[in-house]
Amino acid sequence: MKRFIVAFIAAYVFMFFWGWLLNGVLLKDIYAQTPNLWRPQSEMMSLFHWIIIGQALVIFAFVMIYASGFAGGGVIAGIRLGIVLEIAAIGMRLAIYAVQPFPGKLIVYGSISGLIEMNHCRGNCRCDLQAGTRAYVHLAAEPLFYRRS
Amino acid sequence: MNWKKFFIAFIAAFIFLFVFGFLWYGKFMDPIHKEVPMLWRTQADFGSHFPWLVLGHIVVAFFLTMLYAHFVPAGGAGAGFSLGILLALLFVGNNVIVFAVQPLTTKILWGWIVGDLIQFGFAGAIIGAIYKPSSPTAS
Repeated sequence: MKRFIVAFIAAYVFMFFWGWLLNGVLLKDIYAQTPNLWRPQSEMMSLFHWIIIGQALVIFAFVMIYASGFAGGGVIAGIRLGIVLEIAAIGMRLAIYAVQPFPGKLIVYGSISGLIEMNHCRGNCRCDLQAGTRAYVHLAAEPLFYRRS
Repeated sequence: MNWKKFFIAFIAAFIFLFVFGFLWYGKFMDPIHKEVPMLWRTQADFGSHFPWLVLGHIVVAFFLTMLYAHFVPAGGAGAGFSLGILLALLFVGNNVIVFAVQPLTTKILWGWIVGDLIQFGFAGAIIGAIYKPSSPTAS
């Protein structure tokens, strides 16, 4: 339980700042190309608690998948789980791309950022549970959707 | 890995995901989606992007099956359902985030949440019911 909580908090902090850096800074100009798809800044800030809840739920689900034994154990198992989930997330992005007029660049950059994130995990994780959790951040950041500017 | 069972489970999951998605999101939720028309592609534009929708479902079905085959040792439909629900919770979390940044209605949010839980839970159960590893030690 202690490891679960530590992994959850570590992943949450990382995900929060990664989401801000990627979507609030790096991809800001691309998001600005489709202003009709997004809430105004003030409205988004009034709903900011939903972002907090959503991120917490995403991380909770990933840690549960890992901790429930689906992924086995160890850093490698965590990375493998993260890669598989990331590719599933790419599939979801493609389906969403078909129905919403997102710029194609968002799909590409979001997917690449997820795979880059896997390398970050490989070099930094120590605790098994944290490894699995951090392996997930590529998907958790969900760069296609999570926009903060 | 039992590739024959894997392939059958993947095809079954794809068919279920696609048909359920069409019925739930394309039919049942269609009038709800139309409350915010600026968020969606036009019919003609959607038609030209339809291959992406098919490809997306193929990728999701393939890797949900892969996830089960690699990480759930002979669990059956129950374990598949559990895995599907946990995977759905990932997307539910994402739906909540999307709600904060896109002008979705609360009806759309709840429709997506319920749809994800049903879609992935049952897809996982289908995979679990079909896929069997080639030997007791395989995982």
